[in-house]
Amino acid sequence: MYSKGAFKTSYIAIAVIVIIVIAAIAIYFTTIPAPAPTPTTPTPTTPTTPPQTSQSPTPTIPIPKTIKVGAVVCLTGTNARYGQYYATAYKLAADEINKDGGIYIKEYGRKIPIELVILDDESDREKTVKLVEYLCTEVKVVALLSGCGTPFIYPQSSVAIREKVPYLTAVISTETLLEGGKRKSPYLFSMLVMIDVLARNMMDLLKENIDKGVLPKPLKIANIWENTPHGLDWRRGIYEKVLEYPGYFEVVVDESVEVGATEFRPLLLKIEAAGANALMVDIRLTEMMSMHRQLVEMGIYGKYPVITYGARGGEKTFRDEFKSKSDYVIWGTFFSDRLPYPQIKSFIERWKKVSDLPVEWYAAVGYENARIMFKAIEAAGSLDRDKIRDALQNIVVEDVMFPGQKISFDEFGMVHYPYLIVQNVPEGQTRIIYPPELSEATFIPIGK
Amino acid sequence: MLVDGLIYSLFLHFIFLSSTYALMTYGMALICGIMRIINVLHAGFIMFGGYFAYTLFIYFGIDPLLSSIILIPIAFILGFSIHRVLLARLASISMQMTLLLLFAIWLIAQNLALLVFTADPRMIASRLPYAFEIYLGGVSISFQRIVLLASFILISFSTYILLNRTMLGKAIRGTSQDEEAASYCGVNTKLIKDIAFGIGTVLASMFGALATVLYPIDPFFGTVFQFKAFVITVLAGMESIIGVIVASMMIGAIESVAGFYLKFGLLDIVTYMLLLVILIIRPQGLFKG
Repeated sequence: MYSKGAFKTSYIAIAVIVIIVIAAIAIYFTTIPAPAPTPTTPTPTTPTTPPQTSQSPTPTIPIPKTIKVGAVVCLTGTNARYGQYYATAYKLAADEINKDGGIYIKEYGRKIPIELVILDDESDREKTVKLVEYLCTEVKVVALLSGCGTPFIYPQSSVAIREKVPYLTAVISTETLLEGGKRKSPYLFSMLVMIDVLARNMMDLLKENIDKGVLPKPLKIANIWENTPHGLDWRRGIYEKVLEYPGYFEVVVDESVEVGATEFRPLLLKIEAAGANALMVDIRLTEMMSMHRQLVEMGIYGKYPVITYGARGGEKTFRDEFKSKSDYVIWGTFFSDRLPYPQIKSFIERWKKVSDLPVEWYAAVGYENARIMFKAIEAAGSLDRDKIRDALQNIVVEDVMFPGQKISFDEFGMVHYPYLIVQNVPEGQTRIIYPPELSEATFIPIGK
Repeated sequence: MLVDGLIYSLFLHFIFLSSTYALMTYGMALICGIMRIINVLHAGFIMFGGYFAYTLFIYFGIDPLLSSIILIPIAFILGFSIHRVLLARLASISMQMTLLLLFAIWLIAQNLALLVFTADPRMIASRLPYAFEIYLGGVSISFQRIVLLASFILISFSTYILLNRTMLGKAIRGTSQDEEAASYCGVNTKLIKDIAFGIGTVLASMFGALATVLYPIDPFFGTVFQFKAFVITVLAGMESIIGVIVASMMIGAIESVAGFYLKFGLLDIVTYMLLLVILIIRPQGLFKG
């Protein structure tokens, strides 16, 4: 039986443990700079005199001091890494506009500086919804910039739809924009191509190489996909091309993988037994690393001329772990500093002045996300949300840092440009192998 | 060709998978037997062991096998303290609250791991000195699996000896079977429960450390293993080491065969259906009287 003394000891021990945990968290946050979600301070400049016309607009309503554009990103928590990229990129884009006085709004006949309102949802999906609601209803932003990843963008988008605020997202899965094959809302847009496009681009690349005799015909595909909307999109893309190119491909294995799977040997044996010679896989990074590990373990890494993990394969974690056994894996991305676009070089230089973070695709996506939205606001000539929505729908933005250098939105609010397909090569390097107009090298089958 | 040795390859997979599953379940089975609840902190202990081994390897070059040994006193003190300070008093008041407390501790641990290590998976398997493949009867197997199998045999043997051939083990089993009767026999059941929880924590953490020889780890590392361990514990009938081994073999066999002959994505459904059937037919588990 515990004595009263023992109970007091328990209370003291509990208090000590709680204090230690709180202290540890406090120490962590005080040693790592946590960017405060402050809005961008408009740089005071003399507003540029707008072009004088005989019909200069004479605003009859008060001119807002700033254009409020909001974003809820993960500045702390699980996705903090991506949130830091997005916030920095948004700020960079806004600062560049504000240096010239802001965005010219025709309705007011003058330039108005941007006020970025960036809030931290701490990688919490419930919090993200509340903060987006706050931005839309209390702060009354005219537009929303993307959150960090589909798990956060998806709930945010429901608020944007309800509050009728134009929302430019960075999602690659159609579930955010579409429902039953139809567009959910004219207020939702995505500036990234959907994952099924990557699947189709991969298949186009493989078809080219089948025609060249580099790969066998038919190419026997093992199509492995995560059991999520993302994986289903990937699967759809694969099958669309199988049907488009009769005789080129044969899907010999078509299996889903549950998130969190750790053992893949029976599946890999099934793939071997089916005689597949192309592994087309779309699963998450952790599962991918387990699967690749077991692929290597079974001694069959070099037997498949084609291995792709979709948009995965270039991660430092993967390359460091598998080294030469990750060579010749192909993967897709939107951005590469190897693209011969002058705007990319310029962006990298400007980015390095404002951030120590290495330039990864999140930086480019964040920057272009903001830039496209700011252009849409200018094209709207108004701070009316519906007019901004319409302007975004009709806009054509040049000199973007993605393949094709141009973005415009279709009737579903989606964009269309090819993915870059990259192949890992020895010494930790990569080469762009698709699309043909941007490729640096040709595809090399594994084992050749 | 690999396909010629298909059955043999699946058999080897079954052996290695079963041993891994048994290893991951011992801790949960022991604690379940003593506390009569499913230890939802089991995943947290596995994750703790995994990150412990990862950190020691990355910063000090210490092999996960050695880390799992170093972990023994640390994990024991951790588990003992958690039970003594937090759980023991609560368990006498409400089992439901105990469950909630364990869950809360698990969430705290997971979020701390997210803060320190981020969500990115970490892997060291390919960097280990025994990260090479060998051929067993024509089938390529990583030597790490042999290492894990050997660890399973050693830990199973040690745990069996501890529980069945020592006074401490008798006290634990006695407390598990009938706490009141055990206390009448002079067993300090409160202390025994603290010790048992400590041992369960050691077993779970050791598995986490050993698992890094094969698997990548992230803050959600223990979750998948926890679900499987839960199924095996219920199938085995709690605190039965032999039961855990046999139940692990059942699950290992099902997953090996079903994973090849059925849809791979249905594996979890098959496993949980087995659990459902066993619970209906024999709710006390297969190996509990």
